[in-house]
Amino acid sequence: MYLSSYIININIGNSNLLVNGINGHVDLISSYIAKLLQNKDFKKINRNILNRLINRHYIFNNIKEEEIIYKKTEKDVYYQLVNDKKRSIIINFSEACNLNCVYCTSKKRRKNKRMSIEHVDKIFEFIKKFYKRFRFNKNIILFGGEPLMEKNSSLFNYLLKKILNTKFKLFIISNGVSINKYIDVIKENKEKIARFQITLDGPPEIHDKKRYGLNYTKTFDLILNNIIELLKLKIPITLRSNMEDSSFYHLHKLVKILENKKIDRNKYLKPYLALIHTYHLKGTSNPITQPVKYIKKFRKQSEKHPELLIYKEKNLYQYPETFLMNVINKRRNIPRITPCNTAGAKVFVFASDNKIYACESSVDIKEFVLGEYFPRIKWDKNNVKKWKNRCSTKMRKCKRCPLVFICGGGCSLDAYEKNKSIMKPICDGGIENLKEFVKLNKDRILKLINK
Amino acid sequence: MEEDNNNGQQRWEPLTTYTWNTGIENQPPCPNYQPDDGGTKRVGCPKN
Repeated sequence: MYLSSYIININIGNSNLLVNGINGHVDLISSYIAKLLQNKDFKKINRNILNRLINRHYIFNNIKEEEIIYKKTEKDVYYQLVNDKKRSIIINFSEACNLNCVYCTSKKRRKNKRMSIEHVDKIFEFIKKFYKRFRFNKNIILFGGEPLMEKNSSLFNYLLKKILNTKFKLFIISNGVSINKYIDVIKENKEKIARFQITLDGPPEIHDKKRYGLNYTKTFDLILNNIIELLKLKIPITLRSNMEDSSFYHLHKLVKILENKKIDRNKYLKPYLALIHTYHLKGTSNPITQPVKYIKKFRKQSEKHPELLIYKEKNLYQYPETFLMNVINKRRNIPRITPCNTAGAKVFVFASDNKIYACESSVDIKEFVLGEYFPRIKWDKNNVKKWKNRCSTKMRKCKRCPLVFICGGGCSLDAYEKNKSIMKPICDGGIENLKEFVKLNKDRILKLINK
Repeated sequence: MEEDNNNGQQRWEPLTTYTWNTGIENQPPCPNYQPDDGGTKRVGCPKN
């Protein structure tokens, strides 16, 4: 008999969780059996239980059987990935920005080049040409640079005109400092605005040290006022707060300010906690390497400051933790071989340099170019093929990892920044992190299982 | 929960009942932002 190499065996009290990385099964076994499994002492396992473990592919007759099951899953999942027609559209009018935030992903590639009206026309010709082949997300994402810089106003107005009689809406990722200059046009076209994402990293003394620009030394009050104006128009906002060591302990002060402004419970405001832990955020002083320790910090802080619970702890989970909590809460999991839709070439980022990129933060990196859309459409077939293969099952290091169908292989841009290749994974100790997570949530998990 | 009749040391309980290779998860373009609809609603060509 052969013990699968795709098992994660995690102790929890007197029991162990067995996670099967090939088929997504999770089982609870006594620690006694876990030890027998670990020692490959199959003969001592109760026959009924042994048969169950064989049926659920924790144990095979031989390694060949495991390979067959692995390959079947790999084939099915990859088939679905490449045949999936869903695509997202992201428009970067320009990479230029009126801020110069400390951890910005795009600033080293910042250029003042800007799209023309003709570029916007070409994007819509592209959509028209491919509407049968692809299913486009109804929300067009505006990214950049800052999409709402004053210099972009004619492009923004033109884009609104283009989507007027369509089902498309705009999802605008903005730093929030110049929204007041756009408020009238937003008011007139509010049914075309799906959502804003705006960032406040903490109270003014924290936020203003991270998010500032040449002409904007203090941005907190300006952004907060703009958020309030958008909420008056009932426009949904994701309020993003980027967390790292230096800002974590001040977050409750931001919530207090939101409380004072009576917007902390506004139904159009969705607070969202994000960890700064990626390699491409070079400006951060202390990138996070063990996300679970921040769950601990968040929990401890929210015991002291319950107002923090407007943020959701699950925002801090990595994919393996989300997978496990789905199992525990009896929600269905689906295998994940890509970290995001960028991997798999499912995102088209239209940039001012006439090119289509795979990731919105990658403009100017040759390896991320999928093709051109201006003056005419031209695909870079080699790159498209490479991006369709940017998944964990195609990366050597991931193939033998029990998380191969759970973690997705890590951020492609991080992989590029770290290894100068998108075909190497970014591995942040997923298994160890998951074990820490179980340790931290032992009582909660056992209670949910016994429910 | 299945238990060994002799000593109760051997216990096993399945926490999942499905096989999972039935679809690709709908993901946002980047986990850095979370579209309202989870990135699941799609439309075709604009009318103009």
